[in-house]
Amino acid sequence: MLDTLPDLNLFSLSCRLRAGFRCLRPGMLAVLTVVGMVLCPGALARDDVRLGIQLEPPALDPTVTASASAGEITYGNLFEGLTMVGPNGRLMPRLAVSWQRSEDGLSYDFTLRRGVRFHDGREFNALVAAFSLRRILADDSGNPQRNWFAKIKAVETVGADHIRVLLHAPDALLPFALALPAAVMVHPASVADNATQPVGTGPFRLGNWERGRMVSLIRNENYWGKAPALARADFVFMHASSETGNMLAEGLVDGLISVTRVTDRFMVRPDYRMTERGLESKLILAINNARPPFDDLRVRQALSHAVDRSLLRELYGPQFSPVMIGSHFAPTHPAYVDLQGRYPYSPEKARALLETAGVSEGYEVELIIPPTDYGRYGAQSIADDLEEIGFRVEIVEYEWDDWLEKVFRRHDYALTLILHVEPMDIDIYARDDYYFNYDNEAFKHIWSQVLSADSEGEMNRHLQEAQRRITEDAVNVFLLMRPEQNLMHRDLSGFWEKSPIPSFILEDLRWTR
Amino acid sequence: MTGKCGFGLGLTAKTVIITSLVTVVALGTTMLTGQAFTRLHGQVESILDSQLEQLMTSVRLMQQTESLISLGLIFSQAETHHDRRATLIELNDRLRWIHKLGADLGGAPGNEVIEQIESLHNRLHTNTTTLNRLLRKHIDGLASPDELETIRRLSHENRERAGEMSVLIGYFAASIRHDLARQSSRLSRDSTEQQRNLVRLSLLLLAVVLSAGVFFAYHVVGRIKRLQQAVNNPMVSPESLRVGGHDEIAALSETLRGYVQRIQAQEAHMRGIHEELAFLAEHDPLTSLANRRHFDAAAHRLLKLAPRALCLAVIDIDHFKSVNDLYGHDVGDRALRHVAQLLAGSLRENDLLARFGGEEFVAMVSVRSTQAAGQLFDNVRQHVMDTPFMDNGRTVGLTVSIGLAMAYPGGEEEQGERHSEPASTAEALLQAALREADRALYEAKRGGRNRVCMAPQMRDDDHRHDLSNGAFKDA
Repeated sequence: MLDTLPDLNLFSLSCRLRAGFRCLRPGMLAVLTVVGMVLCPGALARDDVRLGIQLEPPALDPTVTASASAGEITYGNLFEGLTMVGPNGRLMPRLAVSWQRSEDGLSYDFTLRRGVRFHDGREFNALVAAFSLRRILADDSGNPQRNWFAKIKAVETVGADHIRVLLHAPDALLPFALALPAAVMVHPASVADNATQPVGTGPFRLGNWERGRMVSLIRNENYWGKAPALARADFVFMHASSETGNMLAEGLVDGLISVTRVTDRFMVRPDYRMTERGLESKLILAINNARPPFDDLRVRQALSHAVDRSLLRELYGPQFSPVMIGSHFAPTHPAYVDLQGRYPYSPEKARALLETAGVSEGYEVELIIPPTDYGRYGAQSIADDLEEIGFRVEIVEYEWDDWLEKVFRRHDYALTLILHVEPMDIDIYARDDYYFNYDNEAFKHIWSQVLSADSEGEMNRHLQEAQRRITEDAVNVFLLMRPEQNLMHRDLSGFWEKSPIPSFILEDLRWTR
Repeated sequence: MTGKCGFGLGLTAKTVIITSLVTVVALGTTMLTGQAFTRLHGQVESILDSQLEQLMTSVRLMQQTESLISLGLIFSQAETHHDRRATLIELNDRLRWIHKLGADLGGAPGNEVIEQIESLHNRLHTNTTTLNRLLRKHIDGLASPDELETIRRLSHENRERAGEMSVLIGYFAASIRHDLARQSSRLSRDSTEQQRNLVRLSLLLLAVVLSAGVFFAYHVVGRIKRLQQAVNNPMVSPESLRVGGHDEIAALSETLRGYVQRIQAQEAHMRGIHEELAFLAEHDPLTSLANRRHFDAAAHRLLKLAPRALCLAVIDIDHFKSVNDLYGHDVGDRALRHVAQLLAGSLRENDLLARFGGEEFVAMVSVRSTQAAGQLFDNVRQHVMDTPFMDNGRTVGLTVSIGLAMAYPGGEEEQGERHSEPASTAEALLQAALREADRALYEAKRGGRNRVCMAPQMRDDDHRHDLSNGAFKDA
């Protein structure tokens, strides 16, 4: 759910230099020429890629971490779910070949793909699928998307390659939920080590995870489906903005997953281009609703009035003009309500609200940011805005692990600037014990109405109500939609541009030259 | 095939040896070349993977470190929290990247320098945190004079530390560059050496291949060609089929020689049979004298070619029938052989002598004159008479009667005027002479046998002469 980024290329440089050296042996005998030709056949056809990404996930298992970067690296590459959202954005079968919803909508029958094996050779079957789903539902699962599966009553195996999912109430979105990174299939024998040694069924397997540096994926030669063109993909972690700039400048990566502020200037380079992604990433100033003085609606509203969103427009550089939002909802959704104007920029109003709430001038607050470009540069203008209404602000950059631990898990923060990348994730406001500490019964009621809506119209009405509710409650300061673009080498193609799932699918990726 | 050659190596063995040699040299060359490439590749790999990478990393590091100096200055001079925060973020970002780059260099040689760099980095980081706290107070106007002094000191120190760091990294980069240059020149030396080795090996390979070629050209192809030429020769001499050596080609030549010898022996045998048949066709089997057919052919030749007069003699054993009757045909046959031998012994090698059948012999001799002819045959007659036939202790006296006729080859025209039967051909001459000689023989028989008679036309006068007892008798 939470943020991600870019990619690199020193390796390929070395390869070319090596190939060049081999070929450049002037004066050698004809024998050598022949040998040389044998040694460097088609030396320029690369089958590896180095992709920059900003955040290093704490675990490579998307079923246990809220860090979306885990899914961006592993989803569809290393792990696969029963269903998948394809490159065109449509739901399609993956490890399930088909499914059928019962007439009363209270159960789904999934027929599983046969002949699928995990990277360690173990078989995928109904028992494994049922295990994977039951594991999500367990009370202590820690699955970041567990709420999506709240309506599941039970999972039954029906033969070796059939499972039946029984529901408390109809859930039309279940096949979509099964396409989330948090619902990938895992084997009971290897699940315990998946965080560091992930074993999935996907077209790539883990090569190596060099902590702090990169994760290498290697083509799975025993993959059940079409073999990918790439033999290797490195996801290189770029912790510092200057690092990202350096790596891109020197061509040490072949692309950067999601644009950042520093990528903007690289668009002048002829070897890079922007490619679209289908995500719905919402940048918010998250507020700990339980921590005084932010437990006071007036204080939170003051924050919403205080932030000058227009200054954030250039967060991704002048070439991008991000869409502003007034709630935690993507403007592309049919249920979207434009609430941008609900809290117009007004330091005066903000000051007045703070005064009413009794927040004293010079109140000290830490604005915590994850180690990302948007955090570093977005926080500066927000800090200025908050300072403008009387706060004394210190920007504190956390390591990503620390952020997940202190902010996300322990809720030990006041304000944090963060990107939520999961699609349609307004449900997080209905979750108990979520890091916003919103815990609002009224909203939970609205959400239950969304879930039990009989029609799309009704559901959309409730969704609109939900948007209004969180905006009225000024749960967070809703800022903007991230421009969904990757900076990629011009000769790379095969991106899954329409997939709304935070992932970077490698299976169709290839070098065109 | 090589078995009989004792210690010699067969062609197969030689081929195997040469092929193995060429293979070993070629494989050796390939393997050594491969090894050389692997080594060179390893060196390039090492240069690219470590040295070059480290050089680039240290260059990056130096750039970042230098930016720390200016950023530190801006930081310490921040008048607003905005500037302070913004610069702090930049500073921390760079310090973070510097830390990672420093860690990248960690495994490099010269670790002491890296440790120093790392320690400077930590110092900078701590100072920056302290500075940030003090600057915050300073901007809020709350800093004490001591704290202001600390700001100045820390700020100065940070610039100094960043400068030192930059110098150290520069030193590190320079040593890497130096290392790189050394490796590069070693690589260059190595690759030159490998090139030389390769040339040497290629020359060796070439020499081996050429030697093999020469060996096959001379030792194999050459000997086979010699064999072929020897066989192609119209007069194949078995000795010319010897090619020397102890291999399959030598064995082949021996086989061929034996074959040719067998063929030639067969040929000689066939020739012998042929000659015998030819002899039998032209000779009388009993006496081995020429038969009439042979005589006719030879006489024709003589009549055409002889430069002088020829004398034709018809010789008949007197009373031969009584010999047969008295002693039997076997004795008769032996008597015939006896007479034939006497006749042959009395005549010259070049004279013609044939048995015409029964007890009749015909001779044709070249004579100087009729007189000489008469004398010659009278001697013959005398010799026969004087040499009785001895058979089982019995002495059988035999005599012959001889009729002579002269023939003058090549001079028919001048002689022809004098001849009653002009003969325009050798055949005619021969027939005429035979008739004349027969007539003369008849005369000799009638005259009492054991005498020589010359046909009358052949005489210098018109009378036949009886030459017996030293004088011609007229026929």
